[in-house]
Amino acid sequence: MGYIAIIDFASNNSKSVLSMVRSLGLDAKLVTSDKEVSRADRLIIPGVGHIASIVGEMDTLGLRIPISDFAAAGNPILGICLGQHLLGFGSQESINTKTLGILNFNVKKLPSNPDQGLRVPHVGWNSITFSNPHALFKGIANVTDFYFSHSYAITDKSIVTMAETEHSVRFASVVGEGNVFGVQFHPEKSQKNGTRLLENFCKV
Amino acid sequence: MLKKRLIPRFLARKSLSPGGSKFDACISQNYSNLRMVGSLKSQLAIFESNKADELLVINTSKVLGPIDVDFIQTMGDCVAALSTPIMVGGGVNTRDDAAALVDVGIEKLLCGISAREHKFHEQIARLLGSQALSISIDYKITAQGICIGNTQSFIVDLTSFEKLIERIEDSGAGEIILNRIDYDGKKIGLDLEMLQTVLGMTKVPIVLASGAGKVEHFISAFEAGADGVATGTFFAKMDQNPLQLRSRLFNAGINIRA
Repeated sequence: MGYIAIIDFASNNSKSVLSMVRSLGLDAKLVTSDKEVSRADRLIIPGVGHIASIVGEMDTLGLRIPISDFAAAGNPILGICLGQHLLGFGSQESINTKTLGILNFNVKKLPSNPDQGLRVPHVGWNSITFSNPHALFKGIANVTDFYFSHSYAITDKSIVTMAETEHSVRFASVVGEGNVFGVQFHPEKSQKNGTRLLENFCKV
Repeated sequence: MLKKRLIPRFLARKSLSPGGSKFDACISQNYSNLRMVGSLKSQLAIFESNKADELLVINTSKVLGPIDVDFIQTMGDCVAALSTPIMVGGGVNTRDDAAALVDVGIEKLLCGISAREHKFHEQIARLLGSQALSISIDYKITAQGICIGNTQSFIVDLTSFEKLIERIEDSGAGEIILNRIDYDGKKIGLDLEMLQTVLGMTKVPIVLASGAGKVEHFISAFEAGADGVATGTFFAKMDQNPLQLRSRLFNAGINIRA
């Protein structure tokens, strides 16, 4: 049994994710090198900030190919918030930034609708609704609240959507295909339900 | 649908007693008259178990220079022990301050306003994203106009106030906290008039702080369009916790986590 690697980009929430995974009694460590990624059993990509900076950091660390290889080998990956956006084909936040292109989706700016009280950034607790049960959702009731904090999201219909959330528009709050998953919310800040989701990921 | 947020707020003060916890959690009146309610770490843990939606910590230990290393360490310990979003403010004035807090896992910063801070806000928003930057407008209402700031204050009329709000939004801030200093700790109600004014000036979420003393104050603030209410005194001095308040708000039809 190997360890769970959590990519340690600067200016991200890797430490909260690390402490939550460790609190489950699992072996986890923060990683920044290709070797540490390839030796892991599972990979978590947390993310806070701007898509261009996280992609820049990933390339500086030389992690683009190791992450893609890790996914292609069938190992489980979970992208959190900006880490989710990193897995897709691109983001309106920076259209010239080349993301990983592992999952088939694009990221766009969430529209605001202040007249109806729908403000952007979308910050706070909102519910996710999943269409089908999945091991990732085990022990989590459908229509459960998680903590969100973002301005961009997967607002187009995507074949990899596993759960949706509504704020002005419906967007994909959980995506996944095979062994690769992404969540728009922050499980590490979502108290009991967030802990359960991370625990589920560590078992898929 | 996005839920309304209950945000317990504490002022962090260096502990006066030797050993044990390094920081106390305090509440205040008019942002002075600090009264300790417990150790910071244990208060935050208590409010997480009471299902707080977010926690707000204002550091009072910084006067000049970088943020106290003990404070940074304490916040890092809190992040490691908790799974609730923590917003930290008080003396977050430089990139180094921001980086030190972000490095221990704090992902939402609360900054004050002044002309020289504008560029700094832009940097933070560019680096961390808008959702990571909240701006606190600490203000009083006086006969001369809106008096902004606590120690170094300046007075503005409504036109310049609107410009200020525009500038805050332009800098990339993702949230505005309206903190009416002269209501702090008085339990006389939240400033709904200011909320209405600012709601019409910006698209970002608004949190009201200072003045909550009754459940009805929360209901009217949420109904008027506040995304969140931050309060210390209500929870610490009124024998109320977020769980009790939450069920009363839920029963009143407010969209809040059950």
